[in-house]
Amino acid sequence: MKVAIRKSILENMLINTQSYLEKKDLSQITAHLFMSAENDNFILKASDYEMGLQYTTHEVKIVNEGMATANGKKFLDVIKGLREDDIILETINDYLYIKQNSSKFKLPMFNPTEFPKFPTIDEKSKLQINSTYLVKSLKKIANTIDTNNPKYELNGALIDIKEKNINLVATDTRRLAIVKMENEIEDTFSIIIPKKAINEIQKLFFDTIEMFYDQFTLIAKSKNFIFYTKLINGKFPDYERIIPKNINFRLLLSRDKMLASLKQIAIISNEIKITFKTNNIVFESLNSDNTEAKTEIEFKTGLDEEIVLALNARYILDFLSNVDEENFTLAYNDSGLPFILENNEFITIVMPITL
Amino acid sequence: MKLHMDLDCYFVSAERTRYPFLKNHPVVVVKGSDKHIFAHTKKEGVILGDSGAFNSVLEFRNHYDTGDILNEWKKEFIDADGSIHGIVIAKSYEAKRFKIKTGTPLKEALYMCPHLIVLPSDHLFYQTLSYKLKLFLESKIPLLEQYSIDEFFGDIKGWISKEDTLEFIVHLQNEILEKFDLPISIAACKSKWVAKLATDTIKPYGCKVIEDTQIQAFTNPIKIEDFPGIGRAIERRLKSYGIETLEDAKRVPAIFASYGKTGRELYARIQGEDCELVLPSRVRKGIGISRNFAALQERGEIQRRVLILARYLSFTIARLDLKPTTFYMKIRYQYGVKSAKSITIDRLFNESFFTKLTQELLRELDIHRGYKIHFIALSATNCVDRYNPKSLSILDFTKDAKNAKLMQGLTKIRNKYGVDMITYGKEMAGIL
Repeated sequence: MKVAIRKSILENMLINTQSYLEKKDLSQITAHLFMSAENDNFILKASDYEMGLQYTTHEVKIVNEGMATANGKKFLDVIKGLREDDIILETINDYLYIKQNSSKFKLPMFNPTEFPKFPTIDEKSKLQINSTYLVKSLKKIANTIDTNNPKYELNGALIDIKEKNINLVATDTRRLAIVKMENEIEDTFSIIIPKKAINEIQKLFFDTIEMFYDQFTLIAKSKNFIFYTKLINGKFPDYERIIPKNINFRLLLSRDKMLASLKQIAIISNEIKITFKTNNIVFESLNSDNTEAKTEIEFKTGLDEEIVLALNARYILDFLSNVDEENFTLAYNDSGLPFILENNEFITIVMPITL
Repeated sequence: MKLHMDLDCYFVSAERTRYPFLKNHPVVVVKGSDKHIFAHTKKEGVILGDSGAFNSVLEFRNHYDTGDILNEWKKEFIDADGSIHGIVIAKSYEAKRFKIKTGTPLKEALYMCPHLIVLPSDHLFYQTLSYKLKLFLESKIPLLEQYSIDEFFGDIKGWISKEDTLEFIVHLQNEILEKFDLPISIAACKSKWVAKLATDTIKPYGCKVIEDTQIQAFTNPIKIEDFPGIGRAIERRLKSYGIETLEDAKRVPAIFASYGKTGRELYARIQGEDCELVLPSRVRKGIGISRNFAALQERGEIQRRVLILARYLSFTIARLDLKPTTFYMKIRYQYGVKSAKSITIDRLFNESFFTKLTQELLRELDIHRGYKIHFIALSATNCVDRYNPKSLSILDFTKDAKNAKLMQGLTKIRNKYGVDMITYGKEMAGIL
C-alpha cells in the first residue's frame, strides 16, 4: 500500500477512531487501526470486537492499493507532530512508513487480514426512525444507564418499538428515564444498545444516516462512516410496571430556579431534602458530618399541605440538564414512593431516599 | 469520670445465683450445639427486648432438670459412643487455676480438672439476668451503655464528684452483689478505654479509680495486644517495629496515622485522650444469627436449616425495624474448610427476598459438595437510616413494598403468638 493524504484529513479520521481501540493489551490486533486503499478510497477501521467504526475518504492519492495496520495511539501521535501538508503512508516488509519531507517514521504492523471483520448490512432490517431525533433522545437518557451492573441488560438503553409508539428506556435501578417517540415502524421489537455505543454514536451523528439491525447487531451508516455495535442480549426489566398510574399532585416548577438551588446544596451533599410549602420551596442537605446547607426559593405551589422529598440531587440535575424549556413538572404521590419528573415526552421516575 | 463495669466470670456467676452450692468450686459453662432451633418438635423461642447491641433478641427455652443440674451436661455433651464434645465458654476462678480457658474443649478441661463441675449454657437465663442488671444500673447511673452481655460503660460526670468516685463505685459494687448476688469489677477513668483496660487488672471483684495524672503510668506497661482495638494485623505491624507495650506505641503516632481516621482514634484511645462518649443507645449496625450442629451431609437438610435461620433473622430484623442492605453468609465444613460471601443489595428488606437470597447464597457458597457442613452463619448490616441514607431499587420496589407489608403482618402475629407460629412448609421436610 502506498498513499498520500493530507494531514488534517488523516488526523481527523484518527481522532474519531481512538475510543474504539484496545488500550491495555497492546499485543492485541485491536490496539491497531486497520487501513486499506482501494478504488480511490482510503478506509480506516477500529474495533474492540464489541463495536467498531469504519471511516472512508476519497481525498487521497493512491499509488499502490493494499492494506496495513498500525498502533492507533502511536499513529495519531506521529501524525499530530507533522506539518499541515501531504503525508505518505507506505508499507514495506510488514512495516508502515510515515513520511513527510525529510521526516520518516517506521511502525510495526500486524497481519491486516487478521483484523476483525465488520458485520455486513445484508439481511438486516432497516430501522425506520428519524435518526437525528433518535440520537438526540438517546442522549437524554444516556446518563441514567447503569455501569458495571452484573445484570448486563441494565448497562444499555432499551429501544422498545411498540404498535403505537417507541419508548427509549434506561435505568440504574434507582431511577428510570423514558423518552416516548411516535412510531413510524410497523413491526414491533426491542433492542438494548450498550452505554458505550450510545456515547460514541453521539459523536458521529452530524449527517443523515441509515440504521440497520438484527438480533445481535446495530449498524449505522452514512456517506463517510459505518458504525456498528453488538447489542446486549437480555431481558430488560418490565419498566411499564414501574411508572405510577395515578398521581396525587403535579407541580409545575421553574427549571432555572430549581437548578440554582439544587447546585448550591449539592456542594455540601448529594442527599437533599426538599420541602414544598404553600409559598416557598426549602432545600436542605442531608448529611451527618455536622455540615449543613439550606436555601429556599419563593414559589406559589398552591399546596395545602407540605410535601417532603428526600432524594439524590444528582438525579434531578441529570434530568434538568436534558431539559431545554423553562418549566418542568414534578408529579408526586406520597413520601417514600417513587416520584416523576416530566418534560413533554421525556420523563424520569426517581426513587426517593429512604431514611 | 467514666466507669467500666465488668461482671466476673458472668455465666458461671449467673448460674451460681440460682445454684448457690456451686460457689467455691471449679465450674465451667459449656456451649453445645443448639438442639432446639432445627428440631421438628414444637419450639419455644422467646423474644427478648432489645436490651443491648450484643444481646440477641431471640433465645430458646431450655428444659434442664434443675434437681439434677450437675448431671444435665452429660445428656448434652456425651454422645452415644461415649465421646465428649462441647467448648468451655466461661470458667470460674477456681477452674482457671487448672489452666482452663475460654475455648478449651470440654474433653481437655475434664482431664485438667477431673472434679470439674460442668453446666450446659442457658443463654435465655443469662440474657434475662443481664437485662435486669441493666435496668438497675440505669437507676443508679445517669448515662449507661451496655457494651456486651456482661460489660457496661457509665458516665457519672456532674453526678458524682471526682473525689467521691471511689466511694461511689465501691458502694455500687456492694449493692450489685447484695441485690443480684453477682460479683462485678468496676474501674473509673476519664477515658472509656483506659477504664476498660483497668477492670482486667483488678479482677476478680476489684474497684479502682485512675486519676488523670496516673493514666500514662498505668497504661505504659500494658502489652499492645491487650488493648481493645488493636487487632492482630496492627499488632503484627507494631511488633515488626519492636513495639511491645503501650509506652512504645505512644512514641509512634505516625504508624497509627497511616491507618487513617481509625488509626488516629486508636492512638487517642491509647493516650487516654479519646474523649469518646458513653452512648446510652447506640445505633444498631447490624445483626446476625449462627449455629453449630453435628456435621451433616444431606443438602436438603442444610437448605432447611438455612431457611429456618433466615426466618428467625428476618423476624428479628423486622422487630427491630431495620433496613439492612449488606448480607453475609458463611458455612463451615468439616476439616476446617469454610466458605463465605458478603453481598450488598439496595432493596427494601423483606422476608421473602431474604429467604430467597440466602438459598441462592448457599448454592453459590457450597463449593465442596462432598464435605459435611457443621456451621451456618447469616448476618445483615449496612442499615439504611438517617446516618446512612440510600435510594433503594426502583425496579423491585412495588414487589418489595408489598412483601414488606406482608412481613409486618407476619411480625404482628409472631409477636403475639410466638415466632414459630407461622413457619414454611419446607421446614417440615424430613418428617412427612
